Amino acid sequence: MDLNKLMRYLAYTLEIFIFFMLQQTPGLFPEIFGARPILLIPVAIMIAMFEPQIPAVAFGVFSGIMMDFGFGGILGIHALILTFLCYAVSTISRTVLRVNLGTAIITAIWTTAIVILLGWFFQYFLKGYTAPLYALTSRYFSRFCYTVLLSPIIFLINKGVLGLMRAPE
Amino acid sequence: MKGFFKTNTFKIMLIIVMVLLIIIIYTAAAGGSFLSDTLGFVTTPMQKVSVAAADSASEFLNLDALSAEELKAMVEQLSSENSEYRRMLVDYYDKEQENEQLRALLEIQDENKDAQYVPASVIQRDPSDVFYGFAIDKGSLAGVNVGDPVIVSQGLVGVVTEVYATTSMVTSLYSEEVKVASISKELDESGVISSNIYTVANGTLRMNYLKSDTKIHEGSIITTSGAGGNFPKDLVIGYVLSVEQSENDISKYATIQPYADIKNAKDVFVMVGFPGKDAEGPDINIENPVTDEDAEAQK
Repeated sequence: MDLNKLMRYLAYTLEIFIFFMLQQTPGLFPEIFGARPILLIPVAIMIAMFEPQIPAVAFGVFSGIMMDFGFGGILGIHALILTFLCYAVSTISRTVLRVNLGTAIITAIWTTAIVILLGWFFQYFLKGYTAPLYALTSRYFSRFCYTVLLSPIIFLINKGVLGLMRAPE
Repeated sequence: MKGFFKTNTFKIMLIIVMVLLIIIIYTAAAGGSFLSDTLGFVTTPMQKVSVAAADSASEFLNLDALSAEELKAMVEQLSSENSEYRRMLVDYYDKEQENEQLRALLEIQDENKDAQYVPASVIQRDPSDVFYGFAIDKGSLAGVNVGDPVIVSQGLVGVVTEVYATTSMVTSLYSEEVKVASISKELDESGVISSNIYTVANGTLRMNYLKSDTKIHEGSIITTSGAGGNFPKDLVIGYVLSVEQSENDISKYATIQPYADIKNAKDVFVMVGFPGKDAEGPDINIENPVTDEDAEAQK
């Protein structure tokens, strides 16, 4: 493994830790309609846009495990979801998609929607809580919007990391 | 496509998926796991630093009412004083926090003299949790157990639902999974405190199963009843905002405004021991929460 690649992977690992701390820190992000952003979704997806499938999946698993750990309860659900999404995003980005800010935002929209919908399904709907549709539209939708809103910043950070540590092959 | 199943990528993906499925099944069956403990060891110190930095930034932003000149003068003055006070400030914030915690603990202990407390700080609030659960920086190594009540000086905020070595997850009173036997001591009327997504949005709780001719009124103070042994009695929960007719039966329910700021609690206490703990009877059961039908049948 060349040094640039190693440095880039270390930077991604650090990035995941930092964004995990930021998203979990109480009071750091102001609540919008009772929601705070889930930063690790766009972080994993933006890494996948720039990396081959296997590293993309590895960082997706890592981000997912951190998300599951932060939420408590069953470990691995978000990791599994991000495994498939990061593989898909990496494959699409390397075959049919030109990676730029526009495509990054579109990718962030559909992937974040899938993760948050599945999160709602497993963590709210399946537990039989009251008024799942109200929760989806009032709480989960605002969380989706907030997360997507911050995804361009994360895209630019990852692009900067690549610029500093040379683009992959 | 046929060739894809023979590629290394497919084999690695398959291994990753299998490992993740094993982790899911294991943690679903066993609760806490080695992986969670390890992540807790790694993230807890970082999270403490992050929380402290966020608090400092928040204090700094509160200065925005001052003009640029005033701020400049303040910076110059503080810079000149900085070297003099640097040595004194080394442990200042730690001691200040410790002092606040001990002062609050003293107030609480005056009310519950026989209870044992573990002071803790909130280090994480997961954005995925719509019920405002949080993580604290104390775990099994500090004597915390699943089911321990979590309080602040203003009253009850939640209950410990998962314990790792150095951290614990707390489910807040806003969660639908938490049901607390409660009472108005003034009127000697009891009910069950619960919550749902609607009450969370308003920052209130709901006291169910009040009699149809209940005397509970606006302003009545609601505390824990101690029934069941999961919570000590006389822990303050909140006060009544209104009393209304239940949607499903002839009973009434009260909307409760909690005294504690559950959404923004920072320093909390875990009640690891109290008189009457684990006595027989229903009160709260996180694994199998009391359903509305169960509570009605008990009543």
